[in-house]
Amino acid sequence: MNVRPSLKLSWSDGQFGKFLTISGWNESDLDWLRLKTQVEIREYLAVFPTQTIDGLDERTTLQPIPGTFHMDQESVRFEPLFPFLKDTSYSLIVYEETGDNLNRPFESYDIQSLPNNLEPSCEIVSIYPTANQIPVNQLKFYVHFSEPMAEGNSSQSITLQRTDTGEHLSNVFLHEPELWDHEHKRLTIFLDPARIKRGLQGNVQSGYPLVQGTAIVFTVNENFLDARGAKLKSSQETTYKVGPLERRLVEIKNWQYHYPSIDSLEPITVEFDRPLDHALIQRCICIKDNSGHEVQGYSQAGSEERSWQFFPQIPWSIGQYTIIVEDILEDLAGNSIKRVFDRDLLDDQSVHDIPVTSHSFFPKSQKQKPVFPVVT
Amino acid sequence: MNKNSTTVDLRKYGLETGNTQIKSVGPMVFSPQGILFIGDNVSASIFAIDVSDTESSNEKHTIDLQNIDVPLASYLGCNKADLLVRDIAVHPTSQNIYLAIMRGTGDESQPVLVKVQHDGAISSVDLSHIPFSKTVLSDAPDVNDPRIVSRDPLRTVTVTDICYVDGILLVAGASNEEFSSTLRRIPFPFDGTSQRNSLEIFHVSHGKYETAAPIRTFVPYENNTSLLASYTCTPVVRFSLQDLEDNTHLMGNTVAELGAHNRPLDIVSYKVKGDEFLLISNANHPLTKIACQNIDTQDSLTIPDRSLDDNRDGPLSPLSGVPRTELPHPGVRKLANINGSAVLMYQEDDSGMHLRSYETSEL
Repeated sequence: MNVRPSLKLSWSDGQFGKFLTISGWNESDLDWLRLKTQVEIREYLAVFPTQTIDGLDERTTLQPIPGTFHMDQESVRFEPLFPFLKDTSYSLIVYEETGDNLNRPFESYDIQSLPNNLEPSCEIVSIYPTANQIPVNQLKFYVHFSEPMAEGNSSQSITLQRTDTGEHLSNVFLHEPELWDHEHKRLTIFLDPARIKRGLQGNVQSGYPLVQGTAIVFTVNENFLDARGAKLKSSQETTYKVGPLERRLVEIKNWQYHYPSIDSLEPITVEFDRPLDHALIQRCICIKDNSGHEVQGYSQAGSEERSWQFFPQIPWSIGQYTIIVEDILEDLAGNSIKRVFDRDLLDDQSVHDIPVTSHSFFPKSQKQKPVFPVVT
Repeated sequence: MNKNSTTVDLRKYGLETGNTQIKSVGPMVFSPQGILFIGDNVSASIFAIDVSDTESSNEKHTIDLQNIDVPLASYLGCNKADLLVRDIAVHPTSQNIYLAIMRGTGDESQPVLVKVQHDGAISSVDLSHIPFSKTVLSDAPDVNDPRIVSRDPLRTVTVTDICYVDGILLVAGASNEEFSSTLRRIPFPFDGTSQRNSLEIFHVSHGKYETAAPIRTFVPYENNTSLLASYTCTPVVRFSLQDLEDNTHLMGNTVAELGAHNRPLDIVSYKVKGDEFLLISNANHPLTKIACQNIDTQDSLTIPDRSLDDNRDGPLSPLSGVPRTELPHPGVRKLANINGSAVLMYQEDDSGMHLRSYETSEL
């Protein structure tokens, strides 16, 4: 087959990624190709990402994109095994029929795939913690996005900066592996635990990543790409004051409880003695009735994650209810009901062998007029 | 190469041919029988796959595939930047190399399992029609969970490494909520019991502070009686596999630290003349070699190990933990044992990605 400079490449309408159409053939070429098997056609036609054959001046030994050449009425359609990607240039190589295998003349034809310059639509919904002060041994942050996100952007797009010196803190996050929820809409980002744990080299040599008494800005910049490949609509910053170390067990005896009334749909409100981890508040606290069944309803973390409210689906009955708390519930520094984050083995106070994880209550009689704190 | 008539008995392993619908590829390991286990962190599952690689080879092959990213990109129809090699594994009988690759990003992202032969020939394993079974790791909410909104399915466990020991798959994972270390022991063939035997494990620094942390990478050694694990926060910790079976709360023996501002990436074991060694690849420190015989005699670290950072060129302090050697191989990301005779290294540098084998006697 002779080289045909009239050949044109195009993407099949409405099916980008699936087919590459090669048109502009002589009828005799098409008739000739129709007599060939797939293996024989691949001796003459090959599709590559342009990047991999850039500057090629002899037959490449690279394996081309595997796929099938379909013979249509006036064109040849290439169906790749792996869909074509956006923002990528592809090349068709057409080899001449003559010449030895390695020195056969060829012509290449390039086509750019669809651009991925999508309008930003994704926003940052929230960043946790929402407290304006965090402990110097703060352990993690959560970033909630409005759309599913792509992986691999965390290390470039999330920064921590001291407000007093302007210094961008480096080597403070654990970016790998990126920890996402199933929908890829919530990212969990840990501060490097080697910097936080007492006695490890990171802590001994570099100290805590945060400095008590300063303020820091946690920034997610707009270059964080969503799953479509688009940037965020805007970046978002959250400023925190850095407070003292937190190295106490979480103890539910230190919480304050505000009980609802019998026959009402009023919430029960639990006020913590310090901000707790937002995700674990949502997951680790529930209420059971006196027959041990979990009460159905809706719960939410309160302002600065200092409280928890539970709204029952049906009114409270007469009788005992129990708030059940999983012992893995952590505060902002990773201290849980069960143990202090970096537990001192010589300190008996840093672990609960039998932690208290339940608190029983009776809904109040309607005759009383309790005042409930408003938690937003 | 020749064709080996023995093939995997699908019924024995509970495998059925079909579409895996795997969403992502991550850590992977072969069983001695040639079953490939792959962690899929998007669907929170471990897949067991018969790759139907029936070749057998006892020949020693030197693998030197410089810039393997170029032929991989060519074959997979993408730019080099669209390739993310998540793990490597070597088939126990054919010695072919398998690469777990994520191709493209975001919505276009696609998991691909690629086979690379010793001569560099590339092919892909069709994950849409293959004998497989899977087990779900997730602590996904129970569909009967009575709470309406309060338990959104946000919690996930990201598999950081897996290994296979005598019919048990060990799976290390990191939660995206609580900061803990869990190691699941999953019997294979899968019978759905993975949820019930997760294990909390801890390590101690300076004999004083006990903490939990996700295991980043680990490897069995000493005929599968011991496990060496490296944490995200870089302590290297030894466990007895017998203890793993018997305990629900386990304290490991911290035998070394890999240095500040560093992350361990992979560990492999190999033998030279009957002596066993471990190689640990690191994000920011050189490839590290440890003799296994020194691990068992190493006391727990009781004072800070500063040797790797303050005294990099000097002799190792006797107080610095288990003796180790820094090897010159640059940019090592992933490691795999080739039939006991060589170690395969997946290396990255400014010029690209490379697959190279090194005779164990030269390491």
